[in-house]
Amino acid sequence: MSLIAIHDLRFTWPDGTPALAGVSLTVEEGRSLGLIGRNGAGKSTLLLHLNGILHGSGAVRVQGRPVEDWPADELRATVGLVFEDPEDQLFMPTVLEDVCFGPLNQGLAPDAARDRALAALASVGAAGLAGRAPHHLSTGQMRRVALATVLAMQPRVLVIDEPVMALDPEGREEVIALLAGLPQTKIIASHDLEMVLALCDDVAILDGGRVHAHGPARELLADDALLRAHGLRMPASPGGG
Amino acid sequence: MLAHDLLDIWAHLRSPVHRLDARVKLVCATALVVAILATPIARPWLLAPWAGVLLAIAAASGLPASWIAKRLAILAPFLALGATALVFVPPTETADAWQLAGIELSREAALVWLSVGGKCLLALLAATLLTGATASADLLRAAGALGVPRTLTALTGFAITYLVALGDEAGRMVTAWRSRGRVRGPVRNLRVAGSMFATLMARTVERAERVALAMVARGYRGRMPVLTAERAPVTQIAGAAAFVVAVAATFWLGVHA
Ligand SMILES: Nc1ncnc2c1ncn2[C@@H]1O[C@H](COP(=O)(O)OP(=O)(O)OP(=O)(O)O)[C@@H](O)[C@H]1O
Ligand SMILES: [Mg+2]
Repeated sequence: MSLIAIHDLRFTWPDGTPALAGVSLTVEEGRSLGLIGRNGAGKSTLLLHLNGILHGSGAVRVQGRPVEDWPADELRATVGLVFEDPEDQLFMPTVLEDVCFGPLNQGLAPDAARDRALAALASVGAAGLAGRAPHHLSTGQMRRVALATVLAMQPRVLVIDEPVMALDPEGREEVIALLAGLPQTKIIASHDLEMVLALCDDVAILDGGRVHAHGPARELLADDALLRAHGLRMPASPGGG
Repeated sequence: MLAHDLLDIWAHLRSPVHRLDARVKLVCATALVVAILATPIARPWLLAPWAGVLLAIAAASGLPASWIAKRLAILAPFLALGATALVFVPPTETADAWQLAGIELSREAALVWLSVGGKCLLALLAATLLTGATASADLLRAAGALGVPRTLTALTGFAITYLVALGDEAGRMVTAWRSRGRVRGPVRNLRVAGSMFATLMARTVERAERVALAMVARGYRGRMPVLTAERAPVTQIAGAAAFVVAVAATFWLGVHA
């Protein structure tokens, strides 16, 4: 049984914009999938279906169970989603309170929640930001904190939209190393194909709301013609060829 | 990223009023507002002690007088309307008449105007001081801790989220507008402002929805979790109790004197 199984998922935004036109994908426990594709391909829209925020037609199963049948809080504790725009993810007056929000809602005692939050912040290199107001952070700092808010909940599946966008080169490396060290199943949407190559076992190419290719990252990311056909370019990384 | 300081502009001050526990402040403010609203309409002068207490709190809070005045100013049109109406209410008998700058006023009507206007003003002042000297998140938590129903605090919380998102989006749009140069001519400016307003509304609602989704995605079920569940210091609890008793006693003495 796949940990995540998507079958013929279709979704049109309320304003009539079609975004997903029959997506089928599976992700096995412990694997990591890179979701790549040009702007507007439907990557972010697809991710929003994985923890029940959007509901399209077709089926999305987590641990074999359709997402509609999951109690919302259990599903969200199982599938942790980091949004594309970190500004939408942070809403508490201080960074520490924001990162504690999830663990406290999971029923942790304040001290335990605080410890978890501080550990999560430290792991994304944001320990020094705990007392700051989220809206006064730089974009890259916000992105780190947004990642920490979900890491602190220790979900079984990590779904991350553009984890390293706007990070400085060192921060990018740190976050890649951090994600590489996490044992969880991961689904990562990104345009940073070098990162995808470094982190993901498999890759799915999305274009026009459809999956055009799904296979081992090393193979797909070395197929120049395939990548070009979907607006992508080969990553300039050593192990890529 | 919600700019809480758009709403909580003065919440960061460190005055004695700011330092009080939010629950203590909420209890004291509620006691005052109840006393203000329960004051008999025929005797507006009984509002004087409450006015005195609130002015003392205002002075201690360090909140800028201009900011408080601006908040209270929303009542001005209503008070003015009432005052205008007063002129047209004829006194019922000679004993009922009040002479003011050559105009004959109905004493009864004038008292009602003073009383109702004073009550609104003082209740608004109390609310302004409470919200000005307390972060909205603390206040919501205090309300929850004091047994205000969860749906009410949750709804208020989301309302605050929407308000803050509105302020935030407005700020960004104005920045984007300015950085692209202003349009010339009042008509075109108005048109730009109009379409900006429409966009602002749509963006605010969508943004606030996304934030609400993010909250739900992290397990929000209508109650803000409390990180620091510290108890209010005993001295503050005792102080709040004494304050409530004093308010009740003053009220009783005033009404029965
Ligand atoms: N809130 C929305 N309302 C209406 N249409 C939307 C909304 N969000 C996205 N879309 C549309 O849905 C389609 C898929 O968008 P999506 O954000 O999923 O793309 P993406 O692959 O994540 O792109 P990017 O690489 O730019 O992040 C696009 O055509 C986009 O214009
Ligand atoms: Mg996207």
